[in-house]
Amino acid sequence: MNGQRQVSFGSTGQFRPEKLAERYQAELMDRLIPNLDKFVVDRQYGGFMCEFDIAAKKRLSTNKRAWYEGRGIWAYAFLYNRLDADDRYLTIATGSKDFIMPHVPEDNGFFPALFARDGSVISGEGDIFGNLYIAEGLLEYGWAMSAPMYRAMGKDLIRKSLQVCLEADYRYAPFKDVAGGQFLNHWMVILWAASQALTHEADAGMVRIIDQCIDYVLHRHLHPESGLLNDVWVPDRLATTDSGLDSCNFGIGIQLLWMMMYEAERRQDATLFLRAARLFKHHVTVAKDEVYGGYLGYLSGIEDQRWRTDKILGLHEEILIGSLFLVEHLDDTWAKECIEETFSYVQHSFAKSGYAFWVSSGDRTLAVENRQRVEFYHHSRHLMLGLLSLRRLMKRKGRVSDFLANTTDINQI
Amino acid sequence: MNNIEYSRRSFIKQQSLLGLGMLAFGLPGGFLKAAGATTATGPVIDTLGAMTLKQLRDRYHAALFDQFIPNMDALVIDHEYGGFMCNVDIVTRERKSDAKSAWYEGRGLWTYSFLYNNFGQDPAILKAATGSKDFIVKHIIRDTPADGDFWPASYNRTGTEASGEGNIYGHLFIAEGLAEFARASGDEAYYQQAKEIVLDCLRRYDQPDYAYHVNYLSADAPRVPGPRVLGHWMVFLRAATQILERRQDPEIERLASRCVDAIMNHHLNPEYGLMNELLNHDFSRPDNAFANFSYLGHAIETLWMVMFEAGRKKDRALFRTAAAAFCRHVKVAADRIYGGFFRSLDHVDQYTWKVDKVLWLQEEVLIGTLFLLEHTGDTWAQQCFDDTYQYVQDKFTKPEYAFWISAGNRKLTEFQQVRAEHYHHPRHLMLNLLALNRMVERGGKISGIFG
Repeated sequence: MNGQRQVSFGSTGQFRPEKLAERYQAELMDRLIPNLDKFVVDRQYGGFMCEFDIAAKKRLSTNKRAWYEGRGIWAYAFLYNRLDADDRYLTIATGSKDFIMPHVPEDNGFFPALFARDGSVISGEGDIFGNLYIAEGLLEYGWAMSAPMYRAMGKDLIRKSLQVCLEADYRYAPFKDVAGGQFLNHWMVILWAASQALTHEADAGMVRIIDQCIDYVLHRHLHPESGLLNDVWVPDRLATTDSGLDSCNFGIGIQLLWMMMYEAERRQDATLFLRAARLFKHHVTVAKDEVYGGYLGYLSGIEDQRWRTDKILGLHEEILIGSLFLVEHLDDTWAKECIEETFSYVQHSFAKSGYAFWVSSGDRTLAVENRQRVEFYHHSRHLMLGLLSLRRLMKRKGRVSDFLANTTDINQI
Repeated sequence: MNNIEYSRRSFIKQQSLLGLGMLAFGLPGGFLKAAGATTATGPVIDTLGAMTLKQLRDRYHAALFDQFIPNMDALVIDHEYGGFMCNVDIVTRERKSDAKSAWYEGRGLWTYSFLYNNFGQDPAILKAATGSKDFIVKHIIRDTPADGDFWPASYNRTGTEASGEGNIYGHLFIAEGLAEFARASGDEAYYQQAKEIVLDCLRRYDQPDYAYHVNYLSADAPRVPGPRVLGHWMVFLRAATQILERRQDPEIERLASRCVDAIMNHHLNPEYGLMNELLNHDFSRPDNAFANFSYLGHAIETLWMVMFEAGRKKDRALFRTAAAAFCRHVKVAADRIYGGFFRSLDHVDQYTWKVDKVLWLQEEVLIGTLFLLEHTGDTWAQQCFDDTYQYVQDKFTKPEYAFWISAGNRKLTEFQQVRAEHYHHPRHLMLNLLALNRMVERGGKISGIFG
């Protein structure tokens, strides 16, 4: 596998890493960042105003959300740390950090969900994800600023979040009737935040948290028969009649699985990597919309084959992140095909030339688009992680990494 | 079989004709694959279904001659009154009733006549066919005005009517059987009778008030007057093309052409590249639930028949279009979680499915993929055949049962126990056995009939 080779993607070999990197670079630096700067970043009060008509290029509201502040801090801090150490990005991240800091919750509470432009609170308490995205943002920001206090705050928020969601009376709104349940999207965000914390410094506590997430995902949420990750796990499945327990959110599952692959590579665990890779491929395969192209995001009933048919940009971008990672480490043929197909679908369906930003979601054929949202987390993450993958590939002159060089069963995925 | 592994392998390999299909249907094309069938790396096909061609051929031979025929003989064929009694418990080997039907007589007559004609001309086989033919002629076929009722659907063992009017398929299956029996018996009269039945059905089908309820969408599905039904074209086409393989007949040739036109130029929906099962009489799309109904099982079955017809006519363009559509339907119908294929996409845009599994559809996939493989060496077809063959072996065949399981739930944890399937199943075995014989004879080389 590790011979000197020139990597190209897909059966047509249409995409070479250099060409694809140019496309990623242009989308990130020539379109996304300038348009965020122009339409979304609040230079007066700090933070991000994402309610925006991407076609009319008109702001729909100046409200801000805890989720998006955390995500925005992460995006700009990561951009600064990993791709372009331009102080302007730090200034934007700092503006958001300053915006959110007055609202740090006490004990195990959550940040408020919604704010007016000036920071006044206009909603009640938010949910666990506000805390976790802010944790992720602060961890990255702390590294950018060489400020340990933010990293400590981020880790503290992760620990408290885990504690909260393991409490017996914890409820999560979309499954509010489920008692004692555990939720895949929680493990996903906790795992990714904790894994990134370990990028910068060793921390045995974070490792234990990640281990716990992986254990829950693979031993509780993974349905042994379907091979799919269930959204919800309950201790006694027979005791609940909630039909939502037979669901699979591919946006979450696929995202989580590439995060598991990243974590496996970080800890150089080939077994974990290959297991996550197998599951990643299975999920992508099942999610594929064979009729109209792209991927469907949600099987609301696995056994009945009941689909929701809307299309989400984020899911497609998670697939690209994972597939690029597979190419990097395995020179995987399936992944190359998947990249070529998915990238072209995204360009065709989500990237509209006259719009300020990519379309974040729509109906099955994208005939009806959601134009009222700037999606700047999954999108920027895809572009940045993808670009880093491609740069590593180019740096190795197209050679796959050495991570799995001594692994004997790589052909088993 | 490991389901995850099954799906993965399927996904990886579905690379060749798929691209052609997507291009043909005008779907987003930037990522599409080569615009043509991909032939295997080497010109020789050595293995299939993890076996050599000879081993696989032997498996097919055993399934037909060591299981199907002896058990038909022991449990299904009525040696006293003629005909077939298919209500057999395949597990306990008990016959549950001695009922017969127009459909199953026609189908059985075809099966036994085809078997006689293509596999050794065994007098015992011809005797079974003759018994059914006699039953049909004596009890089922009757003179009716061209626009009159169809022959009754069901009969008791001795031939007394046991139900009301049947439908067009009873006639057409009997016609298909009689045409094949004409060749077996050497009696031209049966061919003429078959032809008359087919053309009579066509006349009825062309009446604007022709009635047929496509209730396999749902029991309360709308009734469309004078519907154009993919399943009808399919059976017309198969009956016609089998005749044309043996003789020239301009009327039948016109019928075959008309079927192909209806299938490829009307039922195939250009918006999403899938066959609609039902169209209005004037071939417009209905303004009701049928506009989004694609009965994938019929589509896949029909498309291998179109490919066969393209082979008969050496029509490369038709072959390419039909092959692309076949691949596309197989891909869409695939159950990527538990393996196998679904028969019914009830609503294309809402993506709602029936999730039961029927043996016949899996076998139609096996016929079509082996045809592609025999004539083009297509790599997708090879992988699909391998996966499907393995799936069928795992889920539908139990050596201790009298017959293969005909249908069941999605995972085949529950299945239909009372039914000896004596048409799709032996057709699959016979057509593929013939194909494998040809392939073995050519030393695994592809036929090249499509250039």
